[in-house]
Amino acid sequence: MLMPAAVLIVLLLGAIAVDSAIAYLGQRQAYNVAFDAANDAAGAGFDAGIARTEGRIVYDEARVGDIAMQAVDAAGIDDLELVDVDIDETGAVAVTVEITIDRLFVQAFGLDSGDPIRMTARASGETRGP
Amino acid sequence: MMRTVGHGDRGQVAGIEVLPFGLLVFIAGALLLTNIWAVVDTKFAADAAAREATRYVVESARADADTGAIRARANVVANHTMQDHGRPSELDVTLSTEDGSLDRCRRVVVRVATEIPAVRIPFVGGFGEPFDVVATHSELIDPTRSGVGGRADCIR
Repeated sequence: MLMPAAVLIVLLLGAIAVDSAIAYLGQRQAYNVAFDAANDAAGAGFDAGIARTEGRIVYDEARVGDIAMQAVDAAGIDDLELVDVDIDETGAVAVTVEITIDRLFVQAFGLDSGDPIRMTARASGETRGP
Repeated sequence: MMRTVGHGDRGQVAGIEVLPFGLLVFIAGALLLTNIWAVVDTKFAADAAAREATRYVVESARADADTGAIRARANVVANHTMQDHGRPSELDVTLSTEDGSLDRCRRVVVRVATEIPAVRIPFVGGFGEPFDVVATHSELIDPTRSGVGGRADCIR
């Protein structure tokens, strides 16, 4: 009886390793998309007039939201959605996305695949000095 | 009353035919797990390839640059990245922008697709219906960088 139990344990550990890798992959993908969206929004969502005349970066929230949404849509990842786009207290663009990860073996055993994962990334712009 | 203890080998091999079967199940399971890991690893590599190719295009876009050459070089960059991750698979690299140009404010989308065999046995090769592994990455061409063609119509 020990040998089948040992084999089962090895396969179970392997399944846990694969599921953890899938979760980690999803988490990393979500962060990458959030970061790309924040980066694009920080690079193109500012008011050009204020930047030229006053040398300050002031973000247009609606514009920042649109650009972040475009970036998330272009990523083409299933079960990934834009949750929030915000200008934080430091003036940086903060993009939050949420991804639902389908864990392979957990689902195969009929268990709940787990809670969605939220990732936030920030990016900010600055004007170049004279 | 004396208790007799058996010392013979009779009955020792009962059920031994199940051991090869158990071993086969173990090997098949191990192969399956290894191959699923290979799919996950290929996905990591494809993500990196799409990202590197996009970065190359966004950084290389200039008004006087040859768009065709940039597209061709992006393909090479994606392939090199896959090779550097130890995944020298055949890649299908698709680069697209809204209007095909590489002007400022254009969103560059790079899609990298490859296939990985369902089961791969060392020294024998892969067989079975392949898994499709696809990664997409997008980035805006910097609206304020000098030297890029087009109007910065994405900023106000």
